[in-house]
Amino acid sequence: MTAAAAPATASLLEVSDLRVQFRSRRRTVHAVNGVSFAIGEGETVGLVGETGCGKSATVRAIIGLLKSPGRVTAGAVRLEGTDLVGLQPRQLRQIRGARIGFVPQNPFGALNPVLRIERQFRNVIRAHGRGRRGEIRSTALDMLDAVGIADPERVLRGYAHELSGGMAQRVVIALAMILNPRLVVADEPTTGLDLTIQRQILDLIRDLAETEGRSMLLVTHDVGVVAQYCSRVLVMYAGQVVEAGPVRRVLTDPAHPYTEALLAAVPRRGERLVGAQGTVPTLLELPPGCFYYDRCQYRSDPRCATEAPSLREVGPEHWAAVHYDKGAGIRLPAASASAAPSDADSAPGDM
Amino acid sequence: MRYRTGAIAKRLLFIPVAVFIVITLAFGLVNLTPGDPALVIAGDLAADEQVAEIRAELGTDKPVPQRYAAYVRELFTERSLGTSFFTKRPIWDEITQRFPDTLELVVLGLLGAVLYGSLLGTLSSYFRRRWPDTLSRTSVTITQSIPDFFMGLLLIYVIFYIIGWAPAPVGRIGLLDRPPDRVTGAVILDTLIARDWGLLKTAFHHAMLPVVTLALFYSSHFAKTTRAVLSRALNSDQVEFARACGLSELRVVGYAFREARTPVVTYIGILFAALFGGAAIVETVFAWGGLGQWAIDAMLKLDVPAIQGFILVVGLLTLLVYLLLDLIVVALDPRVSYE
Repeated sequence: MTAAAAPATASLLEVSDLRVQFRSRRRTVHAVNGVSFAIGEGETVGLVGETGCGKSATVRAIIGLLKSPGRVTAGAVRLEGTDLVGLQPRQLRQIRGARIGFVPQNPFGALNPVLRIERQFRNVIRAHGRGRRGEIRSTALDMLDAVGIADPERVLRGYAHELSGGMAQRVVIALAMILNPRLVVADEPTTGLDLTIQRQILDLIRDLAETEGRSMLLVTHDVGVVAQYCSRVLVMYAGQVVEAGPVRRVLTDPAHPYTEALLAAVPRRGERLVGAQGTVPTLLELPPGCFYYDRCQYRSDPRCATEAPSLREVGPEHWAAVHYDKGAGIRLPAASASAAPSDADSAPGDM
Repeated sequence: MRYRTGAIAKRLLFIPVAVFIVITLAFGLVNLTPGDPALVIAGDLAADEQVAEIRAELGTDKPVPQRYAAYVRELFTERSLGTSFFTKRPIWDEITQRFPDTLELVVLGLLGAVLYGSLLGTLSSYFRRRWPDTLSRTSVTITQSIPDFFMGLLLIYVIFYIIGWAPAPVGRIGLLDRPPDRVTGAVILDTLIARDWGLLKTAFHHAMLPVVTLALFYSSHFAKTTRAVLSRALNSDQVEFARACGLSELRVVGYAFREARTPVVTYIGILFAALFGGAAIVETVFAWGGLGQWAIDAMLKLDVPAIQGFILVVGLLTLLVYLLLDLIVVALDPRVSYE
């Protein structure tokens, strides 16, 4: 399973069989259930799935910031060979910000409301012992300039509440990348921003990653964003990666019924919107068979109900956790018509 | 900034109205409640004529509106709060003599309460549901369920009587000590000015138990406020992002604490104003000789000008503190603007 979802180049980040549980006295939520993937140097990987599928927990586990009572119960997160899971808090702290940059969802919430922006830059740079006296300010100014802030001097002097949403997210991105991390993890970085600004911010993140050859994990629930900005995509469902592969292949010829349903839920002109049927399992108790069994239109194989499918190669570099074989012709005509349209190359990207 | 100055100006305009309300309340609370000071002064055995004579002397035989007019006139033309029915000294002198003592007690007690309470609250929220949290919450439950006078007596019993670490609760300094030359009226400050280090030590020693009593009793307010606000702040996006940027935990807690700053400062202001009367019982237990102790005494004796003066001074002080509080909150939080 570790070989699954491997990048073409040498991998910078390697997540293997990651499991995360949120345990309280009364119940245990199995948020992440054996997630494995890798991100290569300079590669942008999309992580899609609906709310509650374990995207956020996966990301928090990678940067070591799971909120209590969440805990990594098994698996490894290797950054350039070092496993981050067993690391001391102090060592992990030195990696966060310096080697992994994190771009969060809500830029207003992310900035400290009562500290001047300059202080926040200073604190981040100082936390990693970088930047000599007098250099910090110019480093911050350069970075703000690089993220397209028109008047960096004024922004440095000001506070978070004086910024617009787009500007705040630019400042956050500048803070996340000021120490030139090799890996950027962006957790739905455009949620809550205007549509026009969403595009600018995503373009900016991509440009910043590309020019410096950074790798990126882009978490989103928007298939269109994946189509436009990522080279590979991981589809998550109920705490598992159910399909992984090059964006073009996965989006045009999805092998997992959940991916198909996700694509069918993207609005397209002149077509009836098809939502996925049923709901996600509660993750309190893991079902014995396939997690998607209850919602699956294709369930036919006797193993579907009893044995959890693991990722297997269904095409070149294309992996899916399914028992059935599409080649055997088990497809429903209605679903396939909307799920795998011939114009999918461009369609999902255009919102 | 434009909104802010406007808001402050509006706030200042309100002051004269508030002052007038305080003046009237001070009068009304004392003069419209039952009880005849002349009867208290004359004693049980006095004849009716004697009581009437005393009434005439005090001016309490006149109707209320007339007394109110006289009180306000005296206040503004002679800047006088009147004289005590009993000591015949001007109320203003009585108050200024005792004010510094209470100020010292309240400042030190609040300082202790803020430090101890915020520490408890911070430990509690940072180590949520672990042993420091349990310890802190136990402390809060205990200190807030013991009344302040009882806590004072308990401390006297244990720390003075049994262990012997504290001196007897006889006031600011020992009974045989010569007080420092009066400069500010505050004993600790005056010993500092006089460079009388031995006496300074004595003064601190005597201040220990009353300050600890106040600090323990009021620490629960700060502990609970800090815990509530900090718990929320430690779960906020800004704290997660600060951690994601690799900031140290100390710095992260510092980021979170800045959100708790405003409510804590607000509490300090409110308690500061309230304690000028509220510390009365602790002052009495420790024979502190402060404003509160004097006011209780005046109330028991129905010394009308003294009670009026006390309410007025504490009321005006409260107005002043609240005004300062507003200014401090605006200065602390760049987002606040009273629009």
